[in-house]
Amino acid sequence: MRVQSQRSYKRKRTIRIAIATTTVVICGWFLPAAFSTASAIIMSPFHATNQWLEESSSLIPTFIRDRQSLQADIEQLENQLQVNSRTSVTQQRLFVENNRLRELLGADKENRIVAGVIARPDTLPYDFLQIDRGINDGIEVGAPVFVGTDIVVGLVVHTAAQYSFVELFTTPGFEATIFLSGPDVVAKMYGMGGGVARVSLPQGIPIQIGNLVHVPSVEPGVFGKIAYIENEPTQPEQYGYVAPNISLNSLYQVSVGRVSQISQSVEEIDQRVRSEIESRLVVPGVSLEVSTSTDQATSSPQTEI
Amino acid sequence: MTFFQGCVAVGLYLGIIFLFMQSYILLGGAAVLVYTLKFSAATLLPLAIVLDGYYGAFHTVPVFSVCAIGWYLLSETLRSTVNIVQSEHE
Repeated sequence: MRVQSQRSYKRKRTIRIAIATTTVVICGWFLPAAFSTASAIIMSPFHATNQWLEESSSLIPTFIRDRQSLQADIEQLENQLQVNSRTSVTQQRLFVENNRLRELLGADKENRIVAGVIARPDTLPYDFLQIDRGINDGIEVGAPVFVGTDIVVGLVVHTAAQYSFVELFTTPGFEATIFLSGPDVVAKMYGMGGGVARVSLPQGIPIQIGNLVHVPSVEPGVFGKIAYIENEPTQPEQYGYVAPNISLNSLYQVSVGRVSQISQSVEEIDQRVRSEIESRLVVPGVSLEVSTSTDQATSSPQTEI
Repeated sequence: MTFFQGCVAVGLYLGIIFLFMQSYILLGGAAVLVYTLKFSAATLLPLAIVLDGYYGAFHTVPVFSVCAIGWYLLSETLRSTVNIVQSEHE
């Protein structure tokens, strides 16, 4: 009985308190200015303390504020880092793609057509490539095919509307006049098949592994490097075996130049060989920037007086 | 209520004020929960009214006060229910 009366008393008290509070709130709603003023007076010590926490340069408020601002900075930087990491991956991909395409297109030097390799020596008779560009895209029979900026790997030998075949320099029976830098000689290169070509030279010419093989009739045209030398003193000739710098299986995009890039005249080829020799002593990146002052000195009439 | 409990109650009460004033709403809510379980939600009602007045909430909707009244009714109802269950088991 007493428990019951206690419960009802508590319930009544709770209801009374709730009603009283609600009444005060309703009064506050009708008299907001008065309540605000009264609250401002009551809260003035707390307000002062709060201001001290927010603005004071004392140790504790500064510590709290610094911690808060540092946490906010950390969150912001973490978000930024996540965004940047995604962006940088995208940028990197685009950068690599851009470089590769620019490289394939010869970057402003001449007009080339990018083509994808759709069949290679493992599916075709050896030393042929099939590319996914044809007459419709402007591919011409006889056009040089490049990998990278200046590595020429073969010539287009057949074109259809939407595809073409490329015969590589390493095809058996393929002959080309090359210029071998190092000993600086012009020689003939024969395709041997299997991704290898052979340069035959008379005995006594000092060829070395790594000598660059240029194809002077194609501009620009480097085919590869001497990878192996066969030299028997009893034989009248020595042979240098040449392999392209890039594995044929790793080719998936090439660029096709124009037939006009192949020189027809002997004089033109000779000129290219000569210019290749003449530029051998130029070391790129090693020079003194004195040209401007020299030009000024020679062009100024006051200097002459 | 002992002296120590009184100190705890006052500290917690002041903590609730500053936590709400510093906009730590979640921490303030947790402190309110602890205060309600340990003491009573009735003393939080004037605090809510004063905070609403301080922030000028009576010009629009006194959120703290409304929430405090609701919280007080809920906590007291739950408390009496728990007491009834306890007394029936005893």
